[in-house]
Amino acid sequence: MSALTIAVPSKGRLQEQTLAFFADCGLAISQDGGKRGYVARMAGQADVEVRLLSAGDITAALRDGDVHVGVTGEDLLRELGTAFERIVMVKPLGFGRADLVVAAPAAWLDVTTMADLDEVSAAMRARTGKRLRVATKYLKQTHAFLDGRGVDDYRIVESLGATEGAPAAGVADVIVDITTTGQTLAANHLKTLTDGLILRSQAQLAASRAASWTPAARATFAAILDQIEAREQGRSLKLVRAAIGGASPDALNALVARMGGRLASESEPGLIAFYCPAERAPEASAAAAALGAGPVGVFGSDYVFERVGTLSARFAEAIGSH
Amino acid sequence: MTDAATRLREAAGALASVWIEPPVLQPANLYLELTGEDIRARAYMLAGDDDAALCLRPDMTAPAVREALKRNDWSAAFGLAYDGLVFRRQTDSAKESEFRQIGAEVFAPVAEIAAREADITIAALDACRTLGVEPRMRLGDVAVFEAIVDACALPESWARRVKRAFARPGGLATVLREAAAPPAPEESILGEALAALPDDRAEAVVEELLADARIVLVGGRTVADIASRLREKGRAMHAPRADAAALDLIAEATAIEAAPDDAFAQLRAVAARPAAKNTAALIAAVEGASARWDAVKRDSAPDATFSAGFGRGLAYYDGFVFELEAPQLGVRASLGGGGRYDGLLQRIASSQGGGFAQAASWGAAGFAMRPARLAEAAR
Repeated sequence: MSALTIAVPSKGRLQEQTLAFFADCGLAISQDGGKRGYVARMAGQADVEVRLLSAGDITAALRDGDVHVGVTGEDLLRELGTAFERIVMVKPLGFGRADLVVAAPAAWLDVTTMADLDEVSAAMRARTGKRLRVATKYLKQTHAFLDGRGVDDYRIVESLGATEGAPAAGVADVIVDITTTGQTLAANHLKTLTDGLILRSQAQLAASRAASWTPAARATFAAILDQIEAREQGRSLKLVRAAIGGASPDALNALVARMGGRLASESEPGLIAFYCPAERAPEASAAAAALGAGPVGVFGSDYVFERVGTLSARFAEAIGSH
Repeated sequence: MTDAATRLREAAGALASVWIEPPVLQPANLYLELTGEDIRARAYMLAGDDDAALCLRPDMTAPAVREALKRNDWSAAFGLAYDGLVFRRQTDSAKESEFRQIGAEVFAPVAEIAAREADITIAALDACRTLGVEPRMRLGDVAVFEAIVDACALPESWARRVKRAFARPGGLATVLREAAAPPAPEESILGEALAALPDDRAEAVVEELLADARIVLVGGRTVADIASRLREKGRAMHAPRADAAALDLIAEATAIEAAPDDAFAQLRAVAARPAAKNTAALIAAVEGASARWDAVKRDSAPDATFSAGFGRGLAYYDGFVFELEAPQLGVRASLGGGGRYDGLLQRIASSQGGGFAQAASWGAAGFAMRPARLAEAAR
């Protein structure tokens, strides 16, 4: 039996980006046999079972503790309401970005802010006795957001798909939905309210507090997190190696500190080597040369592992010792 | 429990001669329209088509009003008494999600109902006292609050917002802060231009703008609605802002919380301030609350506080409200309460297809108590 179960999206752009992310981290996911199709393995992690599920199912599986870890949208996770407490968002992945917004008919030239929407909804209710209809599938976040903005004369019309078409279909007045470019909204004659941003969502690597975190599951996930972090560090850091030559070691050490770098080596005589943020590496190298060091080489790293990984430490703290 | 229930049934029966047993399952729409989406978090909603969805009744007041509306005879005042379970979702698992309520609702022409308010309060109070429980009483009056706002002669849109903010925790402070802020440089240039035109011309301009931008009108408002509100915004650019002294007065008056006679004295002092302009209604409301309190304390004054900002969790009440608390059971442990809710009667009447002409001229008030809590407090 596998120690750790990870759920990844089974279709679409989110799946492509998730698989690319893990592959880039040296944790390539490959499907078993093909017959079952929905179970896969992770490279170098014999103890891991990967399940392919829809983003919605991943969210539910995290809520119920059926999987330890999953990749899904923050918008879906936050829609868990009080059960969101069972989720640890371990790492934002930088893809699957979308904004959860309040959008009103573009023709409502008098409505640009939430305060306008509040006034209009109150006027509608006073005049017709009916509340403003808000189409959404994000019931909880909509309610929390509108409540926080003082809008209360509204009704939610639960939408199961194509929310943006609800006003044109005559079943809603405004909507709450995710948007990336706003084009779909515009095509449906809707516009975002200036202060109607509910959430800037992106894909999250999330863990479930409800799953059974055996020592083996913790250790396996910690190793994966360390590798993810090491890969990220590898991309953002360069290794600068310089022969000290005529430079003063003190001046070089001061330079490393100034550039936000860290010494990589303590032992090689006559050499200094340090990790430095990639974008500052040329500047740091030129400065070292100017101090009399040289030759100075700048090297890329695939991975830079730390003695204690920040991500895995933070995760261990968040998941506690239950 | 039995004893507490018996006393409460006697109190309810004294106010109302007819006992009702409304359905436990009530239309979800009733509550969604009356109290808004908050109810989803507070009531057990049962699946069904949106229009046919049901909920377990979270209170007895709205179901009692529905029962009242089934009557044919509205020639004279009447009361309905009830004794049944209500159901509320609780995030705090220590709180009961199902409990018994005993109460009475009194329906009468508006001219008569004010005289019954003290009776209702006294009935609930006396039921506690016969069991040796001396509850703490919290009093409020939504009509006093509204009269405070009206007295300040705020620009109309602000007066509306301040009133609506009342029921929300922290809402009032937020709205008062916004009202005091300098006007936002809004895109009311269009509104300003439209304000100078006759109605039909303004609408024609909006029509043309939308057509040029190839924007189709969706949602439940008309071009006339949009044009009219644009014009309102345009006019508001030149209208006087909410007067700072008036806003201070609202903040101060709604923060009044004291022993009732003290509170009424403070409210009278507020009405005498120069920032209070239309004070006739405010004075009438304060004197009404004061007379009610005089009646309640006639035999023996309970330990009571009147708060001008005290509204109720369920946004039904639009007149006097009271709550009886048992401090020995914990902070804000409620034994029950009640109040006046003419607006609820009118809204339910109109949602049931109108046809009920009296609703506009009738009022309603009542109380609902929790026998289990009362029995616990009596122990």
